[in-house]
Amino acid sequence: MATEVSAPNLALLRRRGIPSPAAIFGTLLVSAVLAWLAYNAVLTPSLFAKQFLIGLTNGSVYGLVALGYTLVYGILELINFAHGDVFMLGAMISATFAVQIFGLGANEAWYVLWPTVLLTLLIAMIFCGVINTTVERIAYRPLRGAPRLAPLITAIAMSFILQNVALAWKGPNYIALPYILPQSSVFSIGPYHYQWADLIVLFITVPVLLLLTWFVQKTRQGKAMRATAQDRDAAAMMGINVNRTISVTFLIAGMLAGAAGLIYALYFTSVRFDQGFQLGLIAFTAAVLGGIGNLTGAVLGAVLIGMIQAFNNGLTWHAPGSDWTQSIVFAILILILVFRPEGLLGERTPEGQ
Amino acid sequence: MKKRFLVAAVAAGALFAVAFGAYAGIAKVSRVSATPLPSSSCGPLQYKGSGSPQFIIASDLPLQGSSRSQTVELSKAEAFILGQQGWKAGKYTVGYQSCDDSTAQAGKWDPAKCSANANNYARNTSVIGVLGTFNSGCAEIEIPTANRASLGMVSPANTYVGITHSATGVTSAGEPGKYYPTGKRNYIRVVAADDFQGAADALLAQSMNEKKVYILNDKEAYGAGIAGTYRNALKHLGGIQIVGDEAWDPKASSYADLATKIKNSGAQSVFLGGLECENGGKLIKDLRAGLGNIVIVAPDGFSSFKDTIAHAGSASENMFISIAGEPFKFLGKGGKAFATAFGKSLGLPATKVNPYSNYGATAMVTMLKAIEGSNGTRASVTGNLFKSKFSDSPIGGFVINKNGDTNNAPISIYKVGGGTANFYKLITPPAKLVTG
Repeated sequence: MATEVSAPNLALLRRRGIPSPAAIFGTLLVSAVLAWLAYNAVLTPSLFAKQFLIGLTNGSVYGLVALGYTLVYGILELINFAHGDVFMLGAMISATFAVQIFGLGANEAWYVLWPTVLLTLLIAMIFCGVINTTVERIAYRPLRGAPRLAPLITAIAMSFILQNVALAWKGPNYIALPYILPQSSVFSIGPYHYQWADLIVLFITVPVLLLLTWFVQKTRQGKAMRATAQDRDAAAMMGINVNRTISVTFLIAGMLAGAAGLIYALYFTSVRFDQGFQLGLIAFTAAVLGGIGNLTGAVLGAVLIGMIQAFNNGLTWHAPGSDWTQSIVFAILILILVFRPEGLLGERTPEGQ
Repeated sequence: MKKRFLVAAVAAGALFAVAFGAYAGIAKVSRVSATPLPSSSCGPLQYKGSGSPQFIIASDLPLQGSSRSQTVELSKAEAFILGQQGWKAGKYTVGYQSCDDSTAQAGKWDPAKCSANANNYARNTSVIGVLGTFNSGCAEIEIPTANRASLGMVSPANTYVGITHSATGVTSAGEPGKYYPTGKRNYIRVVAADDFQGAADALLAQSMNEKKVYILNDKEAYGAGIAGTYRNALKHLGGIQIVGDEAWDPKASSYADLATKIKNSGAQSVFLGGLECENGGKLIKDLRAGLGNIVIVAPDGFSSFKDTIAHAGSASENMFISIAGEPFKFLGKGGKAFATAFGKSLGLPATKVNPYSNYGATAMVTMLKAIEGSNGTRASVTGNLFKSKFSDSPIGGFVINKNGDTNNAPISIYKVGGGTANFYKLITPPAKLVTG
């Protein structure tokens, strides 16, 4: 007969320094994963290193999307499911401008490539920023005082609306782009090459994260955002324009989605109207894993998800393989929500405990 | 008085009998004109014969997504044959409706749409037969519904083995019996099942002296099935090692990690069992980027050449694509005549007619012959489908066996070069290599 461990018993175990069954399970699971990774690293070191870099790069792209989720959640406690679709529209507008309007192709000279990419980046960021702010104004602001379920359902509805807008605009097929970013090798690990395109993704993600952190921590507007996130009423009493602050947050999240869209389009070279939803879910999982509301946590979570995918798909010794990737990613979401709802870097709150 | 009443009663009875007989005769001969299928899934009823059609042949194809260019032409080929035959099958007048089993959201066949379509065909008694489906996964949904309504189906394109017969390591438990709940078959196909195509692709690998191959599939019935027949044929052939066998995730953003793993396996060739619309273009690009000049072989799920080349770009160069049937130069008299006339109607040279259009035309010819020899009931038409035997048709001569399979099984291999798919070689696999 199984013995139930009631809440008072758990508290007793904690007081005596005895780990809870959840902590034991978590420790065993993480130890097993680390042992599996270590064995794979010894068995096929160059393959392991290459998968690490692939995971780091893919995770960086997920991180840009996850930052948007975490910003909006931080200020409104709203899971903005439409964010993934704003990102997808950013990828589509980037593909349209970069390839169809500016005519970028493979092997462009640097003085053609970079000004055009930067101009496309600016267009995508403005486009997505405007869309996200508009979504907030027409769909979320009227529900500001409504029960939590109402804006959540609205967010899902907005997601489908944006998907169908993209479907009507670009059709159901994948939009294929040429390899615009340089594909030449930066360095090699055994038979595997690390390309400039991979490095460029990191060169964009890291400064964006630093800039965003600086903006939120140091600027007047950032302080207003943090104040609004902590207590909306108190912030209003202190003279902060709450509605404007929330709009600015959506604008920044949208601009991040636009930047992510451009990088996604240029790096992954394939865009479809429904990709935002799938990638949005991955980014949301990353934000939860890192600690939703925490900027560094969102990027950390995204990089970890990227690595989990790469190691699972690409390692050879007892890796479940790509058949199981989605199941593993979303199983992590469940495990995090059950055992550590505040995420890896999140703070314990009365809700999260 | 009594006698007069008796005569009058007999006369009235005779008059009534004549009138009823005449009405019944009219009803039997000219049957109330066909009721079209709903416009939510189907195009308008096409009929250019005299009067109105007694029956409808419904075509069920995915008319949206990456196979659109192929399926729209295929549908036109079916209507073209019906038009050539004067919109008649023997004494019966027949109309045609082209129905769509795809959705814009899915960009390919959709299970809910397949189910709704099958129910529409089953309920509408004007529908005497169905030409379809294109995708095997959709056929798995539609066949049982049609089976309960004794409705015959002729597919121009389904190749998954388990729909008609079982094969070790390829089909699931209960296949194909579970698709025929009445116990009586109602489905035939004019295209060779995947056990032929898998065998032909394995022979291609052998002819290129490959020693290590990697197999991928897209997790769909068709994709997993063709990968299974390829695997079986390689094992029968011997001498070629399968160094990896797994699925690709159609929703993945990148396959760089998979490409790296394949490179580590030492594979000389990758087989892509699946559909191009399952992110196949991106998969080819990432494999080419990560694996350089590795041999990429794909089955007819990638045979919408225009889309495959457009989505994969230069990465598709030198890849091989197999497709059931023969190119124009190998076609018989019937095949060449059809391709020439049909191509002319589209403004295309005969050599540019998509190979699947010949299969669509053959599906229509087969259905019309079955209707012609029937008594006008669905059951009779369905029974006749299994007696199909042609010495010549748009795909050449063939016989349908008791499972509903054809014995016409040449497989064409195309190689992409210079941005087009060019005929490479014709392979007719020997019976001993075919798992079925």
